[in-house]
Amino acid sequence: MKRVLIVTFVLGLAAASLFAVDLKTSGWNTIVSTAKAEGQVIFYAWYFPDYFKEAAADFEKLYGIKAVVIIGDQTANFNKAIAEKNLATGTIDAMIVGGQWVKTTMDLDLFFGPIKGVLPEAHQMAPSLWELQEGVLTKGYLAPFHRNQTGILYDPNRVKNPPQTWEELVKWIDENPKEFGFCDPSKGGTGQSFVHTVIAKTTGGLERYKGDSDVVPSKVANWNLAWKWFTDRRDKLTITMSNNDSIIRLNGGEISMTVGWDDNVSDQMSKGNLFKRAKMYIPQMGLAGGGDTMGVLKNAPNKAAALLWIHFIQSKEQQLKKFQKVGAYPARIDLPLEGTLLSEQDRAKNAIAWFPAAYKNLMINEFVRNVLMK
Amino acid sequence: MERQRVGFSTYLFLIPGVGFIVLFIGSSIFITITQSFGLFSVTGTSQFTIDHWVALLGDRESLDSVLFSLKMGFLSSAGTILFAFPLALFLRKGGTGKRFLASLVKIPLFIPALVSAFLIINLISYHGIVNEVLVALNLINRPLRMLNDRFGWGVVGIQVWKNVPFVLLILASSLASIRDDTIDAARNLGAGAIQILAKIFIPLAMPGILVSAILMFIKAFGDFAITSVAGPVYPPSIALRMRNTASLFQEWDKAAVLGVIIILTTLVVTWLYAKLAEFVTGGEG
Amino acid sequence: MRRDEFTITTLGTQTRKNLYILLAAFFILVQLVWVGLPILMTVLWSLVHPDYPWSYPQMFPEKLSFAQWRFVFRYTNIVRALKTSYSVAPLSVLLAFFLALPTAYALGRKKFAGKKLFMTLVLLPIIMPGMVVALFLSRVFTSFGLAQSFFGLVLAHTLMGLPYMIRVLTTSFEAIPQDVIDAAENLGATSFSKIKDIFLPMVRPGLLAGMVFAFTTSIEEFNLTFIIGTPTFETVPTILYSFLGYNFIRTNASVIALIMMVPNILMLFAVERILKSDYLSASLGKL
Repeated sequence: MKRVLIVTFVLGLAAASLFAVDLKTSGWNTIVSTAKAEGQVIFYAWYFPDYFKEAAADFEKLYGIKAVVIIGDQTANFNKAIAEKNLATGTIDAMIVGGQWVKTTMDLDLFFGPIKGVLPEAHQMAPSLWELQEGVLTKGYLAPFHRNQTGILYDPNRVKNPPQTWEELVKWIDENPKEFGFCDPSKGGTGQSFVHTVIAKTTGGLERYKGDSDVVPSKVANWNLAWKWFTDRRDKLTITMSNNDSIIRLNGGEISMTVGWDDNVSDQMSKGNLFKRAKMYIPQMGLAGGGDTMGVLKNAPNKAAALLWIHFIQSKEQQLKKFQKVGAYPARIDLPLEGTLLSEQDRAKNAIAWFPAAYKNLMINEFVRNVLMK
Repeated sequence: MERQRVGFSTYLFLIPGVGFIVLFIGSSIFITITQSFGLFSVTGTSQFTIDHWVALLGDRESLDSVLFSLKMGFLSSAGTILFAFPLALFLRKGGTGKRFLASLVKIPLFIPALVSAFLIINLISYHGIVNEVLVALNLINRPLRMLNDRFGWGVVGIQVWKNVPFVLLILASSLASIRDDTIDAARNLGAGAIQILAKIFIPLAMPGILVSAILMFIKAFGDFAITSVAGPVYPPSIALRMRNTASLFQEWDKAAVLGVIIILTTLVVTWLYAKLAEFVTGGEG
Repeated sequence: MRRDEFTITTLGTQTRKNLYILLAAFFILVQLVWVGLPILMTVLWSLVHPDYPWSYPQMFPEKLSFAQWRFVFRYTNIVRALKTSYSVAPLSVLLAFFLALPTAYALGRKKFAGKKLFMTLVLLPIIMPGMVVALFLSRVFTSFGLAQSFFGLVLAHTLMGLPYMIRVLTTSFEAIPQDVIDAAENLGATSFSKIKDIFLPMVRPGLLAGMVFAFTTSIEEFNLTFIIGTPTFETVPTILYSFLGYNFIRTNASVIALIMMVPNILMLFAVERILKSDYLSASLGKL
């Protein structure tokens, strides 16, 4: 009874102090103590249940704060966050942010921040990802926690000389009808990455889009060339339903080459959903990469704990653990790694950045109109 | 029916059930309709407009989705009845093994639509067991690409798989009301099997067939789970498009328009079937 | 079918009987493949060994293991979800029953204006597309303070199961012959004994059917639960969806699909055993 009283008292105090403390200026020590008083953090993700579950246990051991990890569907997670947007106090503390949701959620002003100046190890994380994610300016609101990269994934038993340049790829696709698959860009980032590269190669590069925050119509006037490339090869390309569907079809022998996310591929491989012989590389023609981030919700019930949780996931130890467990490439820039699916050389030479988000959205919509609807 | 004066009390009886449903569903329909005109929007604004309607009604993508869903609705209800009717005829009377068969048949009824779709795509994948058997039997040279086919046969197949038991139950009850002496009499008068089927079973089972058709149509027309797993890359079903419009693109007002279109289509088709039922059964259905 | 019937009519009784048995065996075989094969494949997928992926051209997995099952039990909140699912379902069935009883009685036994309309209104939760109901309804639930509460979850599931319960019970009430009630009244039966001795026993098969439908509806419900229930409450479908949606992982999805299906199928066979007549079809006919 006495303990209950004390706990209630402390919690009440913490709740009261929560309104008093401005976490953005209070300093890290205050955040840690506030987090401990809050006692728990609720975190929404849509992948790596195994890693996050163990991280939650480690977190609890280290700080005595309970971490509740909810693995939901990607779309459902964001819908929930948006549905709760106008509540004074929501039910989500922190969540993974990625894909087309970066733009949606930033536009809706869903997150607390900027948190870049709050997290003590922020400067150790990939600086580019602090600024720009999926072509959207994130202004230090979204904290990087891993980087990922798209590459060509293939079955070495069936593909002897994987194509490097654009011309080689086109030739390969024409010679091996239906053997190359990519996912519908409205359903997954790997498809977006492939269409992105096709646009770059058929309409004259990506340079001219740099820095635009809105679509400049004259710059996309010749995108019909890209759409023509697709419609000409309607019977030679296989369009899949999701990033994972591409991998599953490769495993099932329907296709022998596709585009995949590096972390996703190694995760599926480790779970027995893809044969171990599969190989992956970034071709010379270039494929896009990026990373996922975590955000703290504006109406999070446990903001300090959420910040501490993100700090914990960004720590050297956890970044390494995540890589070992699920093959996700760390967001930290001070961690040299071995045993990655993609070579460092490929990453340095052939990884490219997305064009701005406005173009990416247009690309997804136009693909539906000009390729799928035809 | 108890013949008594209908008092206010009868309506009181309806409150727990109908009231509960109307309170919750009614309010969400109300929000859907008002929002399709831009009122009480999720984004906080509230301004009457028909822009969303104009935009969507002139949009070929939405039209494609409506047509696709209509196609799925009609084919699924026809396909399901076609499969369920012979089974219902066979199960009409008891016999060796039929109880077991009846239970076996019902299993898919208890498997959620999403799981059903998942179960079936495992089978019809490129090197799935169906293709492998067909190749082994030399019926085809190369495996067929049945996943996410452009027409939507995969969706129809899964709807049939999942819903045969549902329709079977409805048909079974209308067939159960057919008396054996009617059939015996027909037989004694020299009617063949085909005649018995055409003149007795089908007409007498017609109300059941129509009810199954309505319910199956509603299910298949409003489906998004099965289409999202096994449907074509394009177009998405109308429900799937609505979900994407709302949740992926955050265009709630437009999604609300699609929602209203689904509800209206469902009502119109139900009404048409009801008229048809009256016509077929001579106004008693 | 047609041809069979034709042959049957022209043959003797004994041959006819044999043919029926043969036909039954044939149908059973077809059904075993039709229903059993997809489930068998799912069982196999759930047993794939993580180090020995099952890929083309292997017809069967090279090595089986329970690793996928261990994974699901260890890293997802499946145990918690099972507890929630199987405590929400019975409660919502019970609530649906009490809400449906008076309504179904009135719909089944009284004559009043607008009855057809009410019969249709009852079907609304089935007719309305799931995700939109969930999204717009979640706003209603939130404004009533019912989100993130166990009671709210039970209410939501009740709502989804209620149409089946009402329609099925209505049919049962309709089916009670008026002369039975008249006879009981002539013999001086009180309202209470009328309910106890006539209504309840006669609607029991329908009641069970309604319960089965409401129960499975609750077990399967995803959309509303995800929005108004999580993170406080997770059910089995919310976990299944995380492996079937965007993040499609076949092996793990297989495990959860089985966890969800098997109790349902066992329940089906149990109920079939308890009830001699075909309860489901009897009450679904006029749905």
